[in-house]
Amino acid sequence: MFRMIRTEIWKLKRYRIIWAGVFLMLLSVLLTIFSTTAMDGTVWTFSFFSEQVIKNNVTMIFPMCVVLIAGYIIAREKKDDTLKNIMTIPVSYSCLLRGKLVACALLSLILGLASAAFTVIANVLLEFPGFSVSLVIQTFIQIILNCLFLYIAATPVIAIAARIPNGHMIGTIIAFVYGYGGMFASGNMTLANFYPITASMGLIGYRSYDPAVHWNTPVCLCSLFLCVCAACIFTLGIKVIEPEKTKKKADKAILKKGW
Amino acid sequence: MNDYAIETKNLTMKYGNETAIRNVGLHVRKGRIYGLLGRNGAGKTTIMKAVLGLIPIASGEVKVFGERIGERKKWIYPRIGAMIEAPGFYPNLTGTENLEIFAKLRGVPTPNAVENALALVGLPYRDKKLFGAYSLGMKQRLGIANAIFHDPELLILDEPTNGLDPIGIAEIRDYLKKLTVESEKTILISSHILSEITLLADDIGIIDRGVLLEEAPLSELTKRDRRYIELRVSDVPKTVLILERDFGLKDYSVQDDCTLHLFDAVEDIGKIHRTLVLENVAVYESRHCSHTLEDYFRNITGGEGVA
Repeated sequence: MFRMIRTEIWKLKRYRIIWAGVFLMLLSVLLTIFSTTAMDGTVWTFSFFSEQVIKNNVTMIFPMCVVLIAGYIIAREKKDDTLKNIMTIPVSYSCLLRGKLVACALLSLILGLASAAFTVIANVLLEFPGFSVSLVIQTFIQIILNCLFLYIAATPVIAIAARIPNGHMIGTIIAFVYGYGGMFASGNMTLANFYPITASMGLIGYRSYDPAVHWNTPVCLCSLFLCVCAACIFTLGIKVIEPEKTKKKADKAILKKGW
Repeated sequence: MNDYAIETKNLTMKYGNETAIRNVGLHVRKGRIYGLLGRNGAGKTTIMKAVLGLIPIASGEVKVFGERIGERKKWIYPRIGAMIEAPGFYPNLTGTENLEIFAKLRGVPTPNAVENALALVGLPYRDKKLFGAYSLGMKQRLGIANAIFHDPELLILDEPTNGLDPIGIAEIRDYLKKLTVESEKTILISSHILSEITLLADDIGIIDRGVLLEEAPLSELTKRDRRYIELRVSDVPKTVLILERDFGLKDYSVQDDCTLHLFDAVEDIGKIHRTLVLENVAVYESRHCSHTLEDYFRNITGGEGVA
C-alpha cells in the first residue's frame, strides 16, 4: 500500500488541476474580502476574517474543490488508458482507488496550507486588527486541519462517484450540495455535531469561545469515522466498468405519409 | 507437462448482446512466436484482453502457463508483459517517470531495468520530453519498453509496430526474434499485416469475425504458396486425358469448360504444348500464375483487409 501511495504522489507531478485547486482556495479568501466591504457594522479582526474564510471553505469551496480534483485524478486513469497496465501488474482497482484517496488526503493538506497562506497574506494587506504570531499559527493549524477533515467528510462522495462511469462531475455537484448543507446543519448544534461537513469545524474548535457553540468532539470524531468506513465500503470490491461497445443507432422508422 | 504458454478452449466473449469472439481455441507453444492475424475488428485485441483477464469471459476457459487465469492466480501476471491497443501512459510525466512508476508498482529488483528497457527500444533515459508530446512511434516504443522491462516469460503485444518507421519495425522484429532464440521467451503478437507476421511468427492463427479460422505453423502455411500454369484450351476433357496418360500429371484443377490449372508442371510446359497441338487441341492461352499466401488468407477471410 505504501508503494501505491508513493506512486500516486508521483503521478500528481505537473497536474494542472492542482493549480485550479490553489486558485479555488484563493477564491475563498477573495470572497471573504468581498464580504468585508459590506457596510453592516461588522468589526473585522484577524480572527474573525480567518473564521469567515473557514466558513466559506466549508460551505462553498472545499468539498466541491476536493471532490473535483480527486474525481479528476481517478477519471484520468481511464481517460489516459493506463488502467490496463495497472491491472496486469496486477493491482486491483480498489487498491488503486485507496492509494489515490490517501494521496488526495495529502493534497488536501497542501490546499489547506495554500488557503491559510492566502488568509494571512490578505490579513496583512488589509491590516485588520488583532494580528499576532499565535493567531497566525492558530489560523494555519485550523485551516489545514479543517481541510483534511473536510476531505475525510467528502471521501464517501468521491468513492461513490468512482463507481459511476464519468461520475466525477456528478460527484462535484453532490459535493457542492453536501457542503452547502453545512450552512443549514450549523443552525442546530446537535445536527452540526453529526453532519460530517460541520463536524470538521467542531474538531478544530471553530468559534468554541462563543457560549452558543457546543461542539461534542466524540460525536464529531464518530461522524468522520463513519465517513471513512463508508468510503472503505464503497471502494471494497469495486471493479473497472468496461464501457460497452457503441452500437449503431437503429434506422429511423419511415413514417407513412398520407392515409 | 504443459507445452502451451497460452491455451484457450471454446473461448467466447460478448460486448452486451454482440458476440465478439466465438469458440476460439488458441494454442501458443512455449518459446515460439505466435502471430494472430486478422482484419481490423476481427477480435484479436479481445482475445488478448481475455488472456490477460482484462474483460470477463462469457464462456470457455483461458489457461496461461497451464493455470486458469483469474483473481486467485495473481502470481501469473508478473510472468507476463503486455501491450494492448494504444500505449496508455500519464501524459504529464516523461517516459522515464512513467516506467519508473510501473517498475515501482511491480517491485522490479533490477536497478537499471528501466534504463535498459529504454535503451533497447531506442528511447533516451531521463529525457525531459513529456509522454503527451511523444510521437506515435515513440509512444509505441515506450509501450514495448513497459512490456519488457521486468523480463517476463510471455509477451503479449497487440500490433506493436503500429506507427513505427521501417527501421524501427526491423529493430523491434530483430529484438523479438532474439528474445525467443536466446531467452526462450514466448510471444503472442497480433497484426493485420501479413508480411509482418510471416517475417516474425513461427505459428500463425487466422481470425476473422471472431472465429479462429486456421491455426498452423508458418512452414505448413507456406506450402500453400504454390505456382501453377493456367491453360485455356479448346477441349478440356481431352487435355486432361493427355496430361494423365502422357505426363502422369494428377495435380491439376479444372476451372471451367476451357480453363484448367496445372500445378508442379512448370518445367514440362514446352512438351505439354507440343503434345496438345499434335493431338489437335488448340491452346488459346498459357500463363504462369502463383497462388500466394496472401491469396490464401484472402480466400479464407472472405476477401479484403489482410495485406
